[in-house]
Amino acid sequence: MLSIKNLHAVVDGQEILRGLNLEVPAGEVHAIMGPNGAGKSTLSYVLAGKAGYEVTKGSVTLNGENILEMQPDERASAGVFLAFQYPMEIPGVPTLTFLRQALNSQLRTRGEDEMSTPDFMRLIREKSAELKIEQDMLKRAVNVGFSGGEKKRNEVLQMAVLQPKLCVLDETDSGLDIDALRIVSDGVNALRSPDRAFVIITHYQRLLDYIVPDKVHVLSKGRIVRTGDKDLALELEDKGYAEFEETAA
Amino acid sequence: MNVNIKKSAAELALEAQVEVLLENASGGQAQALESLRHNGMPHRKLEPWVYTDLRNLVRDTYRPATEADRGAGDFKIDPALAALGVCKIVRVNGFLQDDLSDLDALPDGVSLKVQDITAGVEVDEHHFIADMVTAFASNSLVLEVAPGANVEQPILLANFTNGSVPVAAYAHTIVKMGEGASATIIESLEGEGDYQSSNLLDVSLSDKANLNFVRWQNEDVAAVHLALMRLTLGEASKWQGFTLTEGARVSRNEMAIRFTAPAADAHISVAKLLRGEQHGDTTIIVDHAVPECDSNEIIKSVLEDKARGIFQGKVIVRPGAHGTDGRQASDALLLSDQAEMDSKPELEIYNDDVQCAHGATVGEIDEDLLFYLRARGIPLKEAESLLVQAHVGGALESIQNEDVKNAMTGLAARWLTRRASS
Repeated sequence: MLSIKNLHAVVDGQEILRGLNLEVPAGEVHAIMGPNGAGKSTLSYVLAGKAGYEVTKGSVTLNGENILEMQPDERASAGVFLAFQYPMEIPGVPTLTFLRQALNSQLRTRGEDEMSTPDFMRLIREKSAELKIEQDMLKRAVNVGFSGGEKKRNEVLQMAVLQPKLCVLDETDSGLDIDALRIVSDGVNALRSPDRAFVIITHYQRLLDYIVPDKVHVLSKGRIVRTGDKDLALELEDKGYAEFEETAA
Repeated sequence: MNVNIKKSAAELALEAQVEVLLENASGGQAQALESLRHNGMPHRKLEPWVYTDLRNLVRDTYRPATEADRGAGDFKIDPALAALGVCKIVRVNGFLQDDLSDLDALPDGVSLKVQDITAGVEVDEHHFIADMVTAFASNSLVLEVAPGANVEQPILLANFTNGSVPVAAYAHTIVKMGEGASATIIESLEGEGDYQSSNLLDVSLSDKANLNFVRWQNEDVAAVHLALMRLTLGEASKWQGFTLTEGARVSRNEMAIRFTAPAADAHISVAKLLRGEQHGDTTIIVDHAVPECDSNEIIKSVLEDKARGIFQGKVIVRPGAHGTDGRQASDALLLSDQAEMDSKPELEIYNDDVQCAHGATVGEIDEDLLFYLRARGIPLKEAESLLVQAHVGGALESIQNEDVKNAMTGLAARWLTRRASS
C-alpha cells in the first residue's frame, strides 16, 4: 500500500528526513515512535503535501502511484488522510458544510457521482453516533470552541466519512483524557480493514494499548533505526529513546 | 501671484451644467447649485475624500438622464430577489416606472408618492452627493410606513440605469417609518454601460420603529456610483442595515447616522467584494448626541486583483451621550499582492461613560487553514472560496429575515463562483 524509499526532506533549509524507508502493506497498522525532533511530524506533513516540506530525494508511492507529484487535495482524493496533531479552527464554516464539500470534492476528483443530501445526512448521523458526536457540534464552525477531545473526535469522524486508503495519525493521543482516548481509538479500530493501512505517529506507548499495531518502528534523526512488533513499544516505554539517539548520531 | 489649479474635464463639464441650470433655479435647487459652483468636485486635499479623489477618478460629468433614456432594456429583477415575493418599486435612470412596479399592490400601511425635489430635501448641510442629487434629480420618491404597521412583505426599491448612451442618473428617496412601524426594505442598484448614478436617501425612524434595510450595489463595472444615506433614529428605534457592494468602477457609499433620542440601536454591516480595478469607498459617520444608544459597524472586505477598498468610519460621542456603546470593526482579506485596503476608523469621544471599540485588520488567506481544507480533498480555488465565504459570513449574519439573508448569501456566493471559474 504505502512504500517509502530513501526519503530525504528539507524544512527551512535543514534536512529532517535522511533516507527513510518504510513499507506498510494494506490491512496493517504501523506505529512510528521516536524522540522529539526525530522527524515524526515532518513525515506526516511530507505525506500530506504541506508547502515548505521539500522532498530532495527518494520516493513515496501509494499502491504504486507516486504521490509526491500530487497537490494536497489530489493526494486526499487518492486516499491519503492526515489526522492533524493540532486540527485547525475555521470560523464561519459549519462542520457539516466542510464535511460535505470534502466528500463531494473527492468523489468528483475520482470521477464518481456526488452523494445526495439524504444519503450524506444518513452517513453523518451513523458515523457521528459511533463517535458520540452531538448533531449540534456538526452545525458549529469547524473546531471552533471544540475541546481537545472534540477536535480529535472530529478528525476521526472525517476519516470515517472520507474512507481513505492510508490514514496517518499524527500524535492523535496528545491532549486526550482516558475517556476521549478510548472513543477515538474505538473509532480508529472500527476503520481497520484489509484494504486500509494506518501509520500511527506517537511519542508515547499509551495509545498503542488501544490501537494495537502490527509493527512498531523507531524513527531517529530522520530514518527508521529499528523495527519490531508491539512489544518494542513497551520496551521503549521502559528504557526511553536515549539508546537510539546515540546510535543514530 | 495667483495659482490656478487645473480643473479636470469632469469638473469643467459639471460647472457648465451648473451654470445652465442656475439661470432658472430657485429655492433648495438653487442653493445646491450654488454650493456645487462654490465647492466644485471633491478631491484628496479634503479630509473626507482623501482616498476617493473624485477629481481624478471621474473622467467626465455626463448629462442628466431624461425619461426618454429608459430605452428598451428589460430591467429584470434578479431571480434571487424576485423569489422573495417582494413588492417592487422600480426606477430607471432615476424615474419611477409604473409599468414595472407593483404600485397597486403596496402592502397595507405602506404609501408612496412622488414629490418635487425641493419639497423634501434638507439643504442646510452641504455635501457633494446631496448637492448633486438636489441639483439634478427631477423629483423625490417618498415611501411612508404608517405608525404601528408591521409590514411582512419585503419592499424592493429597484434602481436600474441604462447607460447605452453615457448619462448621469439621480435618485432621491425619502423613507419615513412611523412610530412603532416595522419593515424590510431591499434596495438594488444595477445598470448597464458607462454611466453615473447618484443616490440620496433620507431615512427617518420614529420612536420604536424597526427597519431592516438591505442594499445590493451591483452597478456596471464601468459605472461611477455615489450614494449618501442620511439616517435619523428616534427613541428606542432599531436600524439593521446590510450592504453588499460588488459593482461599479468607482463607488462611494456614505452613511451619516444621527441618534435624535435615547435608547436607539443602529447595526450596520457591509460585505464588499471587489476585483479588477474597482474602487469601493464605504464611509460611515455616526453621531451619538443623546444617551444610551448603540451603534455597531461590521465591514468585511474581499479584494482581488488591483481592487481598492476603503473604510472610513467616524463615531462621535457628544458630551450628553452617556451610556453610548459604539463599535467599528473592519476586516479585509486581500486575494492578491496588488489589492489595497485603506481603513480609517476614528473615535471622537467627549464623554466618560461610554464603551467604544474600533479595530481594523488586513490579511491574506491563512495558509494553514487552506492546507487543512486541501488535505481533506477540497481543491485550492474551492478551499479559498470557502474561506472567503466564511469571512463575508460575518457581515451577512446580521440580516434578520432568514429568506433575505439566504438570498444575499447566494448573491455573495455568485461572486465567488465567478472567481472559482476564472
